[in-house]
Amino acid sequence: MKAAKALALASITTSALAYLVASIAAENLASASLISFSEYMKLRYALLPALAILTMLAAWFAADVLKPSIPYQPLAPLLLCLYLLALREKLLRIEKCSDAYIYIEAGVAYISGTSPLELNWEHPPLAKYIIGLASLISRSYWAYAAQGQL
Amino acid sequence: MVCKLGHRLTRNPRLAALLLAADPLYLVYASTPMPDVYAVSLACIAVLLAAGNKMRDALASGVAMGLALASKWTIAPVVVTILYLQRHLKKAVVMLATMTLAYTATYLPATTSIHLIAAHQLKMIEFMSSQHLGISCLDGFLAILGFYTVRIPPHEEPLHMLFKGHTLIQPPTSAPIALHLISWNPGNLVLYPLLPLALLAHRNREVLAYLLPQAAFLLFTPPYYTWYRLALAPPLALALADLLEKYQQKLAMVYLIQLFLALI
Repeated sequence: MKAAKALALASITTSALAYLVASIAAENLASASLISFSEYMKLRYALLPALAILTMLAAWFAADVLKPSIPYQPLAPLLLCLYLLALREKLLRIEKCSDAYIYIEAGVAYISGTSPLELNWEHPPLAKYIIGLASLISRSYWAYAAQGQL
Repeated sequence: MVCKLGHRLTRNPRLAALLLAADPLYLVYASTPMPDVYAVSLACIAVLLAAGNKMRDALASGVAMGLALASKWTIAPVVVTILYLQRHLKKAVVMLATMTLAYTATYLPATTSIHLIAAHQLKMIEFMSSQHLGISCLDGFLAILGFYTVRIPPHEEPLHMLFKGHTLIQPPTSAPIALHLISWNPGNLVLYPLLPLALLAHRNREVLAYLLPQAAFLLFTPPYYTWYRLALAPPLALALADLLEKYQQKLAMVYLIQLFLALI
């Protein structure tokens, strides 16, 4: 059992360290122009995901062997902090979709009598009917814009 | 709705609902009019009804699924889930028939011609296949693993939206798009144990199996549209809640490693 635990710890540490070194190396080589952008992308495509998968498998294996008595609750504050950081990043960085304006315009046109068979073949019409109706009921800016009233 | 679904499918429905409610991707898209929102909601209703035992449940589930498909085709893998939940062939056939009828009925305000409706389906296929190009399945898979950030333009040429009498062009931009399959980042890496476990769960018809069709579908979708991920969030919330309930100790250890990597 001791040997299994040692093996698990060794595999997890090695994988995590290899991942760390590979990430830092790839970033530094690219920023020092020692490797081309395409080579850097290949690293990201192949090496890092492979190492990451290895690390995860090692972690799972270690968890299986070590059977740790780690209570989940103490992790909660750390997870919450990371969640808030991620939330901030997400709300700031996710690109809102420009397609939405097209759906509003198409939806308003459908509600006004234009056939979905003639206009905007991107998706089936039901959601665009709902979006168009909601835009007209809520008198949104884009509904007026779609009708050419602005 | 996810909590209600969770009562049937998971060990911890409240946690599933909480995970979904706290999902930043949902917060962002709550105020954006996209067909995915309707498709996912209707598909959740369809799954909820499909879990019932009576024939009327199968009928209602078919209607909900037909309406979901009439909102967006990307929800199609859920049909597999619903069929999977049917225990009798007769119910499955009824479900498929009502689904087709409900889908066709959404064209009633525009036309009653089956020929025109069929022509529209072909037009949509032609339109979408001409626009969605450029990134391979491998790219999608790696992006799903969370280690590959796609930079736009993912297309070699600008998108032509073919709208009304004129052609709208979506110009390429150089801004990076952060990809989040499991949108409560940095829990992205939980996917590694999740997918193998989903395969194992398939044997016992456990809730994690519910994730399979959609997860498989997402492997083959373009990785740069974040709203495609909306469809995965409800089943993922259910599966993750189940997983956390069942494997708390083991996941705690895996999470520690994941957090370490996420911090890197």
